[in-house]
Amino acid sequence: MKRDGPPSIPPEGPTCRELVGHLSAYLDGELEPRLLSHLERHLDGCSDCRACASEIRATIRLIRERAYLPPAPGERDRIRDRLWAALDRGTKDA
Amino acid sequence: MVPDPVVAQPDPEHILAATIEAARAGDHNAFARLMDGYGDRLLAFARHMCGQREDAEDVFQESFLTVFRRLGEFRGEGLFRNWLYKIASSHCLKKRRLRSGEPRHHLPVEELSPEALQPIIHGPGLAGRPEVPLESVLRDELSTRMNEAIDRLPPEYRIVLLLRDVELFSTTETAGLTGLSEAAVKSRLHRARLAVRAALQPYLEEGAG
Repeated sequence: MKRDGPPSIPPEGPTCRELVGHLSAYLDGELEPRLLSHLERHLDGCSDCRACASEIRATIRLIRERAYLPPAPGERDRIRDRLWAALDRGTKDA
Repeated sequence: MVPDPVVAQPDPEHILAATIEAARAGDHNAFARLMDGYGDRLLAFARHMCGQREDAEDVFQESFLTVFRRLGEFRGEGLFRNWLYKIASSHCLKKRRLRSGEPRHHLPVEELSPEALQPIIHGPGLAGRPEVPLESVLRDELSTRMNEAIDRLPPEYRIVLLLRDVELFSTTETAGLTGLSEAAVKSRLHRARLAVRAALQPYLEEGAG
């Protein structure tokens, strides 16, 4: 599959191998229009690519919901105190 | 499209501009408000990028010190948040060069063929899983595995995934922050998502067994 360049579209229509690399851009609404209709037609008839798209969609949702790690208890105050101390030192040194 | 999660939003731009102006003039309360608005998420970003809490705290400190010293240079041509993350990304990369909590083996991010995707397509999936309560141990385990997978991505893929899918920068903004082309951002994001999903497969299969 081509990388980072405009993908070519074979006359018989793109295959799974050619389309699977574009599923993220499709789910993000960023697929270029000339590929969009090919991909949507392909998804209508290909259960494997539909399943793959569903799994990527679920992965994005999981990452968005759970990858943010809030500060540990007391961490916010501790690092702010440390930063203010550094700023005070910097101000005095200046 | 996947809907955006609810993310705590900093002040609207006009309030932010006044806060930046006040911080630039030496108002420490205004600077504290900037930290309050952006600090927690910046720390979380740094923790994923650095792999270690201590390094992430250093990046937090160095980033806000840089902001404090260079606020006079920030003219508001771009968004403050983008400027801040560009500074933090640079500190994360420097920190990584110095040492680190980098995993010995990164997740493979090669382009997966349809054949290689078969276990994901036909095995127990994420998409069909029933939603489990927030406090559930199973949910915590899945979150832990996913966060470990993110931290095992090669750094040049991890930063793209974090900026796009966690911090919700656009493709164009991520390209600006990383110096990559938009095509490269899209390509790396796709591979990073698939690598994270593939890394969860053993856990999903254990759960199905």
